[in-house]
Amino acid sequence: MQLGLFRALFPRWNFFDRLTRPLALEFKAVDTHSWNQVEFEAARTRFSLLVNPAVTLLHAEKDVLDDFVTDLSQLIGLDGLVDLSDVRRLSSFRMIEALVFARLKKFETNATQFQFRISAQSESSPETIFVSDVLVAP
Amino acid sequence: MGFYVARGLTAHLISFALILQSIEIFKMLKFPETLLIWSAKTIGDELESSLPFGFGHWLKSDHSVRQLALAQFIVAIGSFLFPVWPMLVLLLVIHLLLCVRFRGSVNGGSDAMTAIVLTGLIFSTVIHRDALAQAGLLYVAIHVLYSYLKSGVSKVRQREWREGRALSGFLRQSLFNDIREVGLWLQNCPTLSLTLCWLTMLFEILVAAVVIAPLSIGLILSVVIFFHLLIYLTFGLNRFFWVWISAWPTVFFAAHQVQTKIVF
Repeated sequence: MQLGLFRALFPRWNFFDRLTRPLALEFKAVDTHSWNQVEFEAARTRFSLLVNPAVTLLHAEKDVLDDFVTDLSQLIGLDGLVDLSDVRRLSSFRMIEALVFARLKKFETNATQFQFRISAQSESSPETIFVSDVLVAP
Repeated sequence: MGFYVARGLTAHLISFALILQSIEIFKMLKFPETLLIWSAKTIGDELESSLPFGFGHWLKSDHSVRQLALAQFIVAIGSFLFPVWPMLVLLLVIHLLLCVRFRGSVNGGSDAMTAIVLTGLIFSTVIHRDALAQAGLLYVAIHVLYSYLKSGVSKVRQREWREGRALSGFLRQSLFNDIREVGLWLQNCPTLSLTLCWLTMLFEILVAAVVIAPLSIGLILSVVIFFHLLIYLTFGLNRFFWVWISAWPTVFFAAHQVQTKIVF
């Protein structure tokens, strides 16, 4: 049983405590060279104090990204490497894959193969955390 | 604030919050990525292996989200009108199923506090002996106050907060461009940034003192509403606003209990 599914029963009241380097999620179609950033940006809408679907969804997507990076860190071996086959079995990997594909479709509707990468932003230069192998659009 | 007033207010407010959340889920489903990211393909295995009696098989389907959101909408309207324990139990079950369906939670803290509020309300509604029923509301109040205290203490333990750099950092990570600009501006105002960081930490740590401080409900509520409105405006966390506000009547009830029993 995955206890994480029931995390609503185990509150952690650590709100905005640790300031970590922001994560950047980028994607590209395989036959292109340039990486495009997945933007987590929202516009304010009327009545959003009552109902705020776009923002709630973006927050949930950012949580998916954080969860994947956390899951990844737990797979890192003593040699500092990760077995990609283990990564592909992660639910959070499949969720990131779906998120990236959804964004890719808005960019390039004909793309059938793509990659994504995750990096931690810093003031000097970004540090790449993960680069996927070539993924096939579902 | 007396027990029945506090319980009634909390029940109405959390029901209202869940009506809003149901509508929000329906609107989230209009974004194609919602059912792509949280789909049978991505989390179906986890759901099926974690839930018994084939329940996971139903829950992983796309229909389940709509069905649960509709059920929550209907039951929340029911509990807003008639906040009786069967309605509250149903709401809790549906809420938890929705959290599981979204792989644990839609919106972390607010989902956890929703579960706490509903649990406390159920207890205080099922039990007919007043002294025990009051424990249900006190349970919620303790969690509310602890949430602020823990949040404040965990901030104080971070150097970025103590040195006044954290707030501008978080604002720069906001989803809203205008707030990111504020964060950039604040980065260049170290004294103001330091002051705001410490005000935030002190507010969160000292909130628990309202239980013993003979301050007016209006004053406390104004400050709390202001704080949560700011969080909503800077980070778009509308769910937090409604769920935490729904829990505050229990704190006023707890304060009333403490202050009428302790003579200063």
